[in-house]
Amino acid sequence: MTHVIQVDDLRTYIKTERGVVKAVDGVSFSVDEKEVLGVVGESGCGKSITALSIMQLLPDRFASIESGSINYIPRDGNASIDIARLNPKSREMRSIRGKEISMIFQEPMTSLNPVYTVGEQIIESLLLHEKMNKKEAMMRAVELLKHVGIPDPELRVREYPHQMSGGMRQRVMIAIALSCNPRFLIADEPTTALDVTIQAQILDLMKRLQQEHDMSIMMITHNMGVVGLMCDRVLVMYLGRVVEEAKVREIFKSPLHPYTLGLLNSIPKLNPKERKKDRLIPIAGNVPDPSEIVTGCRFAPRCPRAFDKCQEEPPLIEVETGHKVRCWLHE
Amino acid sequence: MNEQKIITSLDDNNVLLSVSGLKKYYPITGGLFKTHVNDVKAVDGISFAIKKGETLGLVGESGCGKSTAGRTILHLNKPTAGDIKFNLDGQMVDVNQRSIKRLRRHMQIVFQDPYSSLDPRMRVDEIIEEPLKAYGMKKDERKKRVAELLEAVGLGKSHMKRFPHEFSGGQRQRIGIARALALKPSLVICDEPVSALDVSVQAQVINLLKDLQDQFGLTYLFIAHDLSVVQYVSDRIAVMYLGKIVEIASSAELFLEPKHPYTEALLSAIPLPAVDYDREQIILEGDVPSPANPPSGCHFHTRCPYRQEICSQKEPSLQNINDGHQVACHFARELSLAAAPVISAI
Repeated sequence: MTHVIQVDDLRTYIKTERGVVKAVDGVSFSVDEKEVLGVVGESGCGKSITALSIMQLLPDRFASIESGSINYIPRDGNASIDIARLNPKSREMRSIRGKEISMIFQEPMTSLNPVYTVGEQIIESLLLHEKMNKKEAMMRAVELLKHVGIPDPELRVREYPHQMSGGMRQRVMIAIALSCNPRFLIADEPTTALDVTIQAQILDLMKRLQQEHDMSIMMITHNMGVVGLMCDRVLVMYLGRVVEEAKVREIFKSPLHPYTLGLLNSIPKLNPKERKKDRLIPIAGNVPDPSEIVTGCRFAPRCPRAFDKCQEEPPLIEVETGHKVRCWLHE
Repeated sequence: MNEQKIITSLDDNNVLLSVSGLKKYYPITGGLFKTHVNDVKAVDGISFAIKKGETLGLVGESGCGKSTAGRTILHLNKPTAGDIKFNLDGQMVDVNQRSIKRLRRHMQIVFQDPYSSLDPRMRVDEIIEEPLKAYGMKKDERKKRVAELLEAVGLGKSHMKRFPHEFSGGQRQRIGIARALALKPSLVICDEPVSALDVSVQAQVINLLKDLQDQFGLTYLFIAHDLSVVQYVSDRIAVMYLGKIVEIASSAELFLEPKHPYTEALLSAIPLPAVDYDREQIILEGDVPSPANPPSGCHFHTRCPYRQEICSQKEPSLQNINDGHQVACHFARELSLAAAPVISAI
């Protein structure tokens, strides 16, 4: 299996008034061709910053990649490109962003530009990357809208985002992301802002497109249900670090890290037959402020199974092939 | 006491709140003279009752009117039409503009967004004692009550003098709950109390709400869109679509034997945290139509996979098909619909 992207020891730091926040602190992973990788974690775990680092879309006054590499492996077998070392504004980066790697954002309401029609927003990347003229690009935009399931695409292409519903706008975002046939798609909580029945539509659409276009997807979510539905493999992140990595089946069947187990236990189970419900087992405490510096295992303060050794940080240990965990219990 | 129409005989005196034909319309004005052209029918004639000590879940997608219903019951919005009756010491009292001041201490609300529902310039103890002050409790009693409440929701005395920004989302929601409980209400309307919280913290707040219910004998109207959460907390569940209740049943019956096609679709859309389970997902076409211009006949017919001719012409009424199981569908008795997906192997 060939990789599409290979991230090694990535560190992205954010400067704040209260000091430097190590938002992503030594994260390594790879995504295979045609694979859907889930990245799960709660707010502040660094999942979105990891995505923005790959896209080189970090707000450069506050955040920067301190060290590590992000290798993109092009499809024609050419040598890999280390994105982390490219200037975000360079020609090379711009030829990758939107063409080879594209991204869907969480908020379909705010991530489209309100003063341009959706057609104009779709053709932007076509004009940049595909050497089309405006007329051809507009025709392609209509095709794309049709492809993502928007009815009357010839009319809709001339509409503004405010004329569309949340689900439609997310479809437009997907059309923009797919316009140049990317190899790798990053989806940052693509359905969090949507209703359940619309979420089902969008996930179904993404699954279909992933198969049709042979894309790899990095699916960022906090919803274990979305992981179960969409992903092949999953990374669990906590406070800037990967704490567990496994095939989806393994994560649900035998979660190893106490945090993963805690996340799964926090979700109410669907068992309508039981009248008396078992108490939920939450994770104690709150998600810590990422600016607080924790030594040792970052999860130890909330961990029900913490012991002396947890004052020292455990490495990411490969317990079985493809199943890695950062916990002293599985040394 | 003219202001209250007292109705003593209600078939079940265990009923704490009964709502019948509740409507909330927001006018749309247009044209040069801002004349009234149409209404957004946010809540369009809903009826239900909540028994003492039970939790009624109210679910539906955004714009279905579930939050509006909750707020209208408390007269935070003025109802357009309909009757709301509240059981005050065994008597069903009409909830209206005049009686609400007296009744509101018995019916409180916990809001969705813990970031915007607390005044950022007030300290925690001030936030919690505000309702006590409004009802004229003395200062030293207030202090005692605030300490009690903080303890009940799992916060300490050390938190009393802090400001809301010093707390995490979960802690803020605890403060909101303490404020709602300050006047010892019997009914608490929980409007999406956990949807803004992280998963691990969600479970803490759900456990807390359950404990408080046992401890103080509270009755909840639990408004949410997350079906796994609603299933977990509710005894009965009402499903809303475009301002109307389409199905209402016990939690188990709704999940195991749904009778409305919309309920079936909602249940099948729940993404489960598992990989091996039987699922045939029903994916509804299209978006939720606008409540300003709902479809004719059955509001759901434009998206319904089982629609027939009658559905676009005649609106089905909510009818009893089983003891306590009500459905608004012309074909409720004929359709055999799929139950919620169940995880077969873990």
